[in-house]
Amino acid sequence: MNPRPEQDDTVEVVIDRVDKVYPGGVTALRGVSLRIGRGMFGLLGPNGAGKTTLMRLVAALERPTRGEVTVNGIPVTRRPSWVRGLLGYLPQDFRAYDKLTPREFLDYVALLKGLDDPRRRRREIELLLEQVGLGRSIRSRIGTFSGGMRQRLGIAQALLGGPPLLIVDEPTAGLDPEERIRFRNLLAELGLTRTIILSTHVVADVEHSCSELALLIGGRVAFRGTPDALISRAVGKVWEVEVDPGEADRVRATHRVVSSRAASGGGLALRVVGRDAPPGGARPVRPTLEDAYMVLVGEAVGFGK
Amino acid sequence: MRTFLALLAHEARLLFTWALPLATAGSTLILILVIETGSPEILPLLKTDPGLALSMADRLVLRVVELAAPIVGVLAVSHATSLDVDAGTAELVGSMPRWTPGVILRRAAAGFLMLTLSLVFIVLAARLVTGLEFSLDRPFLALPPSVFLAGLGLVVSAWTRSHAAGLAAALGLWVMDLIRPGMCTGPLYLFQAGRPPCCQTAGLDLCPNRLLLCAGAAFLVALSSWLYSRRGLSR
Ligand SMILES: Nc1ncnc2c1ncn2[C@@H]1O[C@H](COP(=O)(O)OP(=O)(O)OP(=O)(O)O)[C@@H](O)[C@H]1O
Ligand SMILES: [Mg+2]
Repeated sequence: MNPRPEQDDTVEVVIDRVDKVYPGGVTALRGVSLRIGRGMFGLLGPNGAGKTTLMRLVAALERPTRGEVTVNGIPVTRRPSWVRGLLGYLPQDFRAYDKLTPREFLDYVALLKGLDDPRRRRREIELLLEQVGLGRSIRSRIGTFSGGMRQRLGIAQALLGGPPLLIVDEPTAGLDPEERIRFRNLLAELGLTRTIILSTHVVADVEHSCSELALLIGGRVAFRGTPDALISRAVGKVWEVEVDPGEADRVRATHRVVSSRAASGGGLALRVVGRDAPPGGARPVRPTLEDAYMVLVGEAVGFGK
Repeated sequence: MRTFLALLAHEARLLFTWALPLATAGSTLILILVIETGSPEILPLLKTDPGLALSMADRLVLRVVELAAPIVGVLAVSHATSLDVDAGTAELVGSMPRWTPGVILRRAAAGFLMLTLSLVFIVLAARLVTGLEFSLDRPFLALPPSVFLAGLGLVVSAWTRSHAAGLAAALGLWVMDLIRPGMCTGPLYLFQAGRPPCCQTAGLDLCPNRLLLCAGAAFLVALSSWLYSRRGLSR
């Protein structure tokens, strides 16, 4: 029903100087330009940064106020159902019909995706249910599922039909660590032949599976590149320092605290990011991706509280 | 065709609520009781258009079916557009390549099918149980107004994104027309019994009225499917 490229046909998404202003007047995106090709592309950013808005624009669920989103050169707004035919989409707030069983639900979604061959549908659904670990719950209604089970069902419906473009909005929210890592690895594997856009608040997921990422802050692209490049932006801006509990607030006024724990001498051992070293014998440390995220957010909105 | 039937079955499953068989069974029971206990004194209450040459039995069945069918119809269909809002699946359905308004068109088809089957059940069960000889096709003239009211419910719930609002609109119009036939509906009057004077003088007979109601229902369903697909875009 829809043109469906072969699995190794790369889908390229180009976001060109896109602004998005919601009817209420909220500007969710400002001048966002990104080119996203095969592989896994991570979207990081604080709450309200515009990650979901960006993904909904690519999924043709929303129109840009200015600028253009194209998939393989075709504007999304011009041929929305063609784009959706290439797309597996997991909404941030994924929910399913409570009274259906997972098999019925996936069958419905498969039909909406245009998988008309009943045998292929059944085969693929069985396989996916096993793959996301729901094989033993196929007779239960979705209404009886735990949050993590629902999320797995959401992942399964996105993968249905082997779409060459996957957009998953916080897919690992609510999953236990084992399942999260399993799913992360599954995505990385799929990313070898597909274009995957992943948004998450779990920096480790991006670190371990994405070859490229963009950091959105306040609707703007604050960084775009590899995780290593992001880390190198933070070199010389991350310190560890031991302070008395009473002094911690003084450090917080000029720095962002990444972590704090009790030190052996009765003080607090802080890991902080900021422009300069905090006073009191701070020593520079090698940044992680999480530190780098904090540095860029700090540079955009200020390091002090 | 197979795909369409598979989709139709899923839509029917999503639409189905236990209120539907309950309303059908309740209506059947009431119809049987009315027939069994119907004394000559209550028959004049079953006023019908005097222009219609109907037997007492037909009038009686018609009256009950005309009261039951719209309720069953509204219960069967009017939540088709609010279903996804309540289930939180509107965004997901909107991201699918299949034509989004088609979802509502199929749901309406599935719901009207369930309504028709309910009506067949009510009529056949009443005839079998009571043995009363009445016209078997005349009660089905209650389908167009039921479908029209259900369509109105669809539009209102698609617009307001609330099932309750849709129900209120559809049943509100139904009650209005029951009390004052034709006051709000004019040529689209709902009850065969209640052909309003204006239509009588204008010579608007039952047949064109039912056709108008069907056309109106088709328009309302189309409008609601359009509203549904538009609203899906803006969360
Ligand atoms: N439908 C809407 N109408 C009006 N404003 C909206 C709408 N959706 C999002 N916004 C606003 O747009 C901005 C970006 O929201 P968005 O959901 O894209 O952020 P996000 O990065 O996905 O956040 P989170 O990490 O919390 O999911 C926010 O300020 C939000 O309030
Ligand atoms: Mg979001």
